[in-house]
Amino acid sequence: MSVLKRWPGWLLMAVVLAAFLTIGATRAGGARSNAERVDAIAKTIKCPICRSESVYDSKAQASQNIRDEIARQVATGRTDGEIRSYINDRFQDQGLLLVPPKTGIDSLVWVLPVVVVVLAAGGLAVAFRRWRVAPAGGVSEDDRSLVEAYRRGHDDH
Amino acid sequence: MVDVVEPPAADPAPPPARRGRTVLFTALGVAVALAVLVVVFSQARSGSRDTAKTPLLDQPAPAVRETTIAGQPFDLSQRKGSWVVVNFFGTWCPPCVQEHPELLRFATAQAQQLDGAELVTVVNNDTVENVRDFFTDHGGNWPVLQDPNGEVYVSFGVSKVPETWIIDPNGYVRFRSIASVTADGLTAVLNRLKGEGP
Repeated sequence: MSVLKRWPGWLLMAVVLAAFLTIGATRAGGARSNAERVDAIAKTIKCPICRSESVYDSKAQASQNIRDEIARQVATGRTDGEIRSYINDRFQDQGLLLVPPKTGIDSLVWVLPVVVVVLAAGGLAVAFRRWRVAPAGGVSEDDRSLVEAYRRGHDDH
Repeated sequence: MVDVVEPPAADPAPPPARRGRTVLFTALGVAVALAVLVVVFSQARSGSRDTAKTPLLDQPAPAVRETTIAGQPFDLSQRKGSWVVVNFFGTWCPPCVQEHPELLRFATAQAQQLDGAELVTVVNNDTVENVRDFFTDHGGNWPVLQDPNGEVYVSFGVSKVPETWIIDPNGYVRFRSIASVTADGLTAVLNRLKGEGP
């Protein structure tokens, strides 16, 4: 009965979590200016000739060229994904994406951690439930049959 | 009284026929793995033609429509029918300056051939005055393009200079060098590519 009483709380928590995850994964972030889009994309692309710096932060000419290219493509109406994909394709040998894409085989990077967390939470829930249902020191069926066999042996004498 | 512990009986040796099969399968496995490695490496070598990596290899070259430092329009697509060597250059770059006499030799030799390659230089992050002065002082009368916003550089995936690319008469990328080139080396690559056909 107490388990049933707790269910609405867990259910509510699951719904709220799912809602936040969905909003977080799909939100467009509202209307953004072209300059904001350029900056946002530039922050996700690595400077091709620096160490651990995005083209947004880097002062190198190669980074400036990529920022200019992003601005040109934003102005022509290409999507963020298309622009990132173009830059990544042209500098493919250097792997410039700081954030993995959310499509194709790369999407596993995003999906797998969520799957692992869900499976782990499910596993823990099952384990906790088992511990509660079968408390230590209880009498099992094997114990009962052992005692029964012993009694029968004594009754025969 | 001392307990004598009997040593566990050793596993009986596998029969000779079974041992022979194991050796045979192991040898076969190693041979197959070696053969696969040899094939993979030999193909990678022949396929790469000693070129630097680029996703554009054997793909149509990106569009190059810029103005030369002499103020003339230049369009790479108008050069179809000729082999074109595209050199990415900067006057402030010592390896580029060092490479320049080799490019001069290459351009002079190619100009004397009927199907000689055309040379074109693309400059980013340099002033027109510097580039013009450099070519006046060091020679070279091929088209020199200004790419002030790096559009051509990004479209080829160039982040450092010097780089040299070869475009075939159909407008396909056939070679990329990310180091300084020599006239002899460039000629050898070009002749090899011509032998393979466009």
